[in-house]
Amino acid sequence: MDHQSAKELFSQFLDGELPSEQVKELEAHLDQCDTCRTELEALKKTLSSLAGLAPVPPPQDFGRKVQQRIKRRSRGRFFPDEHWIQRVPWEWISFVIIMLMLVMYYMLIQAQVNVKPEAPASMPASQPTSQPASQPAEPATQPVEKTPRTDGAHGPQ
Amino acid sequence: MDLRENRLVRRLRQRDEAAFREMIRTYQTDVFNLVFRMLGNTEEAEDLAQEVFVTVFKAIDSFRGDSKFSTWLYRIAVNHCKNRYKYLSRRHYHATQPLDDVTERAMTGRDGGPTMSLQAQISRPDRMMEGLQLEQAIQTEIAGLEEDQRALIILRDVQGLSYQEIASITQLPEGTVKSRLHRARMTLKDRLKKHL
Repeated sequence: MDHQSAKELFSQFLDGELPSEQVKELEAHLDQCDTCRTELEALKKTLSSLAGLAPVPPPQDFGRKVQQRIKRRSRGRFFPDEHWIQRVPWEWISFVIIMLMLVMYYMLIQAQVNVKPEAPASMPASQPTSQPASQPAEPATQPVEKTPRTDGAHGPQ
Repeated sequence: MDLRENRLVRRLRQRDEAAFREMIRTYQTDVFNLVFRMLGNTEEAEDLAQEVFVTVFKAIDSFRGDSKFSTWLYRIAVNHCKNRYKYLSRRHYHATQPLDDVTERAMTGRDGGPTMSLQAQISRPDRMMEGLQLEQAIQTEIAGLEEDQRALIILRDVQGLSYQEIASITQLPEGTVKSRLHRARMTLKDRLKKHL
């Protein structure tokens, strides 16, 4: 067995997964080879150091933060541990603002209609719908002004 | 899946909040450590570990039960790590942000209390400093490994999972896991020689 072949077996050997025949071959090589023995020792120390890395504890409020994240993304559907008053009801606020804007728009339109100037006389009779209903429309046949007759005849009294 | 896992998954599917809290309590340390060792930065690790659990909550209905629940959870964590690592690499994050200072973390635990890590097991101050340097070196060298190798080293040699479980998490054939892991170990051994 050469160095390279021996090194290829190191991981399996340390994991205890090398078949017994190959274990014997490797051990025979290690008995004669200082280089491979040193390499195997270094690998053992490396693995031991990795296994010795103690767990780093997560922050104490880790679970609460995860729940908050889910609650935020589900818009309060899950983990609704806060009182409703603590949560800003943006959907209701938006709805009320839209309704207020619509009402204001309608009121503005109404105000514009009320201050609209009367239509000029040349407009057709059907147009002046904006005249107040209390003023009766003058009949079209009524004379604008009585003029005295010049032929001396008297009109009916 | 064992009975306990089965019951937990059933409750998670019903969006049982108590079950979700139990799941976080059970797996938060493993997931946080896996993510921390993959990224080397506690703030990124905290954010990503939270994201892992949010994904579990959202995707629990897609868990078919072909593997252990913990395997599925680890798979989500590893995939998240790979995506985040790529995202950070594109922004040259690792060139500008150093890995966490192990010494600082050793002096103060995340919760303000003492931590129990490699260096904390050493009683003599000079040996403790050596331990700190070793842990820093290990973290640096792990970060320097190829992406696939990094995940394998952490899952096997830090977290202590079986080859079968690692193959299921990474969805690689067991033989591929073993050969890649062997290469990763030999690389780490060469790079850590001066510290050991």
